[in-house]
Amino acid sequence: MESSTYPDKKFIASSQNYVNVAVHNGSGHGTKEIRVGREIKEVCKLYGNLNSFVTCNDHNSINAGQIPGANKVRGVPALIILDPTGKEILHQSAGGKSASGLIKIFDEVLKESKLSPVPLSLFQRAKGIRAAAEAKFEEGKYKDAIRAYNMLAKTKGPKAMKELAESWMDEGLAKCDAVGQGMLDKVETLWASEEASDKKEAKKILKDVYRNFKYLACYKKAKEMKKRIK
Amino acid sequence: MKHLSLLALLFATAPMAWANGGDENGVAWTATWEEALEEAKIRNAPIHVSYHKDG
Repeated sequence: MESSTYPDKKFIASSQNYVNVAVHNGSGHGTKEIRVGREIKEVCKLYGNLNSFVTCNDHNSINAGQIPGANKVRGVPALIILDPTGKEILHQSAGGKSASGLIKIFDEVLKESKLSPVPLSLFQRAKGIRAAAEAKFEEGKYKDAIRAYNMLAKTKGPKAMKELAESWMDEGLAKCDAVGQGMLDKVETLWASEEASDKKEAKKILKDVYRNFKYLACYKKAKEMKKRIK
Repeated sequence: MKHLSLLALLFATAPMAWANGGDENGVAWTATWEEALEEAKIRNAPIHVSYHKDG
């Protein structure tokens, strides 16, 4: 299945309506390199690809005991399908499946359970934007981070997906605002000093907040402070 | 200019198929069970667990 069913293009498309977990005892698959932006990731030769950065260690060490129905697996290959809460829907032990056979099962389960999953592409896009924003935040490039977090507001898809993206955005913007507020506290301290160099530094930091933290609460506060600190 | 920098930001972090072998798109396997369960709840998607072993 690993070398015939899973690489099948129709199966790959069908699998995007599912969350996929490989429990594979064995680590002799070798590795390959996948380039993601500027980063190169070393992944399992069998299960790694642009949508999956799984290593042999990952698929070998998944705690199968936590997975509902795992105790009933008597032979491999085995297949378990669970609903989004983790409740068992289908269990088939010992039997490989062709791509078309597995697609048929996938389609039937979706139809019977009346599920309309958020497409993988939408989920991955939102995750990618969040990761980009986080990276910029870590680099201290707050203007870029804020722009990226704000992009999450444009996430398309079902209500649950939009709500999740908005919660990521709110969380990220709050983090940026906290940095800006901290900088403004420093401005107040420096401005209260008698030293000319401190006052100069205060003005510089205030300008930074005003320029880079648009339109967060700290930006509005910086705008007010600029009237006083000249 | 603003749009260009945002595009650059996304391109710098998004998977780039053209930089790999060209046949690198595949099944999105999750690395852990916890990750799978969390994603399933968010996406309202069923979970497919596949058991295998070497040999």
